[in-house]
Amino acid sequence: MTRLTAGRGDASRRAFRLEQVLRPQPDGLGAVPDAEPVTNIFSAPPQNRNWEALRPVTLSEDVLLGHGIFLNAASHAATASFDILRTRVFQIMQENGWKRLGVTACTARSGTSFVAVNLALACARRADRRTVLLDLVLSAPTLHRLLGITPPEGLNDCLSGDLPPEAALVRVGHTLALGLNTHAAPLSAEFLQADATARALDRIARHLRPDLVICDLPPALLRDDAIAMAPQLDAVMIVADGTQSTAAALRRAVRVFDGGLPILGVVLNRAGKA
Amino acid sequence: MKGFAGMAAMIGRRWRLIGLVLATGFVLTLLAVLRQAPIYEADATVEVVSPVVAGGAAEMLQVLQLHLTTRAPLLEMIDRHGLFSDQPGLPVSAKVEDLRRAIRFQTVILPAPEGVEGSGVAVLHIRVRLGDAERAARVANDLSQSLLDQASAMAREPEGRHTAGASVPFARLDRALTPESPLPRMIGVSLCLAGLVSLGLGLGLALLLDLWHPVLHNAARMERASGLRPLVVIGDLGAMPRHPLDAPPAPTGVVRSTLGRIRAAVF
Repeated sequence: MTRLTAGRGDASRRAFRLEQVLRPQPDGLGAVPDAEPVTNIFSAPPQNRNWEALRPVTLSEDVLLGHGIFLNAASHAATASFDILRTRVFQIMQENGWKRLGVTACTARSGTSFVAVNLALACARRADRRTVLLDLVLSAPTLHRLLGITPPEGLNDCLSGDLPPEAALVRVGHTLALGLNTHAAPLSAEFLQADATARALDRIARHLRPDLVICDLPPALLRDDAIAMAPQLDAVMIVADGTQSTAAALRRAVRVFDGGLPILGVVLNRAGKA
Repeated sequence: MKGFAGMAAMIGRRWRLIGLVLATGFVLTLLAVLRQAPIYEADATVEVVSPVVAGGAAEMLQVLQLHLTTRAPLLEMIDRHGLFSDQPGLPVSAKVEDLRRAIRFQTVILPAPEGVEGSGVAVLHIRVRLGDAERAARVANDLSQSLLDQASAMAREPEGRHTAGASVPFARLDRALTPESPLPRMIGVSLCLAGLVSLGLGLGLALLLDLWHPVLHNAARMERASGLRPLVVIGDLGAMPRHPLDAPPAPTGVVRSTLGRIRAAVF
């Protein structure tokens, strides 16, 4: 089993306690999405040359809606939940000086990619923030299918150092960049632990200077990919499925990162009525 | 668990267990049916030509059937035909019970003629099921002959006890032939029954597991069961309104928890 060590950790990261985000906060909860500078299209003026060098792609709203992905805030009532999640994530990440967030789940088919993509799109609706979404489910990449686009180059080539970020990533408008894969990579956990991967992630951060990097990860209890990525992340968010996740599984998933990586919070997906 | 949706979700969660129990039930049943020794059934028929017996022929036959299946006649039959010779360790009581289960009587009763007391018996089937075809036929014929003998004895008894004594009611005996083939194994029926039982067992087990390890389901249950409060709660997309303006006013756990705190602070 991979032993967790403080990777990118600084003092604030280690001092961060789970209770801080899992319990009601005295401030900030009233900050509903309406209070933010939100736009329904990605219309931020270009300010970063490297960012603008990324290949632009257009997302089809019909394709996205068919996959439960919401490009615009008016697409579906569920966008309100993702806008609130975006606000909470930005607040916590900024408060702690964090940039990289992993999104994982207790078990398979909990909706990790669904949450990661919708969170990324909600973040991209903020004109003053730049977000990068990386498909790090290297063993079975799915984000390209969810988004309905086929990138010319795979993220794996960038992570291995064979391609620069501007050649491997694509951008949607001016606030969202996507690192996608179309083919599975063997030995994904080993790949993620490689020094080249760490250097590539640092290079992406240096070139694109995003406010937030969202990493879609495999379930924490099924593979060691999420643990392998822990040294490269600032925090992790766990997706629980209201139709299949048990409390025991959630506690085990939390324990996987215990002491090594702050848990930003838990998203309860497919929740039933109270 | 609430309603059909809850049950469907539970099946979705536990389909592997349910499938495993179902498959196990099918396989075990199939093995049991295939390994089952062949059973032969011999059928002797006693036809009553003149069923005019005071006191009712059906009642008399019932008495005879009961007498034939008591312990002593059955033990004699076991000795006569060498039944259970391949199971010397089997207790006598078990042998008697096994033979009793192997014998079936079926009577077809015709209405009694007008003005005659009692019921008329037309046909009596004596069916014997054994693992040996010849023995099954011999036992069936032995039983039918014993029945005839006892009926004749009853008819000869003094008037007023059992019968009028004026007529012999049994006229013809169709002897049982040695069955050529065993009874069909009924694999289809057995598998259907096994499927139903296994499905019930699988669902029961799944339900028990769900009670043991309940899923998080909603924010309140999640907090109660794990001590963790969700950052945000996302409901079932299909059940949510497409347009945001149609959404309920408090769609997330965060907002709900805020309202709860305000309520707690005020009240």
